[in-house]
Amino acid sequence: MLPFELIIEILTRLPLTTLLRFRSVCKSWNSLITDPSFALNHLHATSTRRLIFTRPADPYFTDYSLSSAFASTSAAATRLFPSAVPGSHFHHSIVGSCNGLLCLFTVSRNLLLWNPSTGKFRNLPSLEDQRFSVVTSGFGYDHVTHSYKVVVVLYIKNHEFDSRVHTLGSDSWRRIQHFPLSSTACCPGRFVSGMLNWLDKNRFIVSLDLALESYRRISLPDFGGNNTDEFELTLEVFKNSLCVLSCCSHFTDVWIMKDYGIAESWTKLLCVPDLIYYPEFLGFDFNVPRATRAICISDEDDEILLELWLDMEQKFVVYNFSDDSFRPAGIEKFGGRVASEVCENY
Amino acid sequence: MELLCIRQWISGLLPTWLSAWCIKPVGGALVRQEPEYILLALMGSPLKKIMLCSSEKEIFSVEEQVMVQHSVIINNMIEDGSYNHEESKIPLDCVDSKTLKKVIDYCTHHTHHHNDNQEDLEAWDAQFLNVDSNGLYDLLMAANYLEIRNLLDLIYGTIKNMIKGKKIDEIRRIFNIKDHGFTPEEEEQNRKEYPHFY
Repeated sequence: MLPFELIIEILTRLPLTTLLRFRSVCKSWNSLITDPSFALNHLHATSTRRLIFTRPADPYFTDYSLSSAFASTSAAATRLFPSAVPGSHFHHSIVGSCNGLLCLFTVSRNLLLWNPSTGKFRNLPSLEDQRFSVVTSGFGYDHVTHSYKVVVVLYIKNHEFDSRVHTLGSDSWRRIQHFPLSSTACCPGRFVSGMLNWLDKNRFIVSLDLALESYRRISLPDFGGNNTDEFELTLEVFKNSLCVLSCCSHFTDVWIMKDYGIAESWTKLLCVPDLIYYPEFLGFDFNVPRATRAICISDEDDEILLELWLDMEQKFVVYNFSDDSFRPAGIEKFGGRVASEVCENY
Repeated sequence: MELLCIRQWISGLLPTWLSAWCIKPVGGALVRQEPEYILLALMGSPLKKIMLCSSEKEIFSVEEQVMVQHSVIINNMIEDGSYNHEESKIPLDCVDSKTLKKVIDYCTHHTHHHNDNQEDLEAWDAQFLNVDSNGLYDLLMAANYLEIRNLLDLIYGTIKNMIKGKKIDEIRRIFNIKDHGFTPEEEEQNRKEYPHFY
């Protein structure tokens, strides 16, 4: 008789339809297959990642598979239309993605969850309080109650921000404590290990524990005494850890928080060198391109996809940090501001 | 001379084509083979062998290279120095002779035929796994114990294809599940609701 751990390995590799059938084999298989953590492991074991881009004017998403985005030759993008979604001829912005689900924010201030693999979507109950504008939002999964939650932050008045949480399956939004933000400029929340994270200007990270529904502040890495106002900081999630990218005029650093919540565990993951040393990327008049954003790290863990601007033109390049080289990425330029999201695909 | 100096001296002696050859795969990662070892091998000393001992106390002699390339467990034992070439043998109490022989066969073939084309290797693998289900399970347990990644993936792939389309009764037979644990009412309910599963 095979030990149970090997049975788990076998079941993890089976397609979903077979797994659902095998719930009837025996009681122990039934409990295993219906266990939420097994289900998550199975999804992650059988999924591939996709890169989704959105532009403010487009009523569609531009979608690349991660491997083709990192390939050197120009990849074929597919256009995703959240069709059958009400108001889909207008632009939707992405709040976040989690386990292959995308949370979208529509032009008419509605939120919905969409599964690009199956096409199914679900409207969330509407946010009342039309007088308050939405400053930021976030989407994540609560491991404790095994439910998806969407968080929305509203601007009440000077320095006062209210937060509302919706748990998927319930029918309303709940108020939770005030969002401790110091300004209105805020990017969407990044979800990592049960916490949603936002950058508060260049000072702190605001972290929301989805299970406890309470906020706290986490300090940023020690950039070594440099004036942090000169940096452009962005939050990303790589390899299940929170990362901070600091871009200034001549370099881009990627810092990773190895142990979540512990500010001392910020480590510099890599430093993308100045492109001035790479003549093939220099522009007219030897202008040096500036990296503005890191989009994601490859599946093999040795390359990072960056967005660059040079001579007012946008380029996507891949930096390989094991052999310290740059090459063009397989993504066509968008010619404008673009938001990106890494999404799992089943 | 310090060991480090000796190594640097020997690496300097090696021509580049030889340094390129000094790369061995270990459990999927590439590790540079120690240059002084290569030089010694070139000087004509016999390829190092190690002894593996099955649960039935039968001893199998196999090239160290071969096992170290495939089994993470054996590689770790050799690298951390707990294996003494002169005296010891590696006891594998959970692997019987028949299975151990097959595992050694697999590792040896994949090392020596590393550069064969994909189809030939796949054909060999298919033939290799043409065993009864007991033999397959023994191989799976051995590969799991020795942490031989490519053999594990191969076996899991074969098992997946074997069970994907089977009915519930057949699955119970294959996995030797005598007591399914459902109450008679639950079992009857399942059979009524999904008769085509059974």
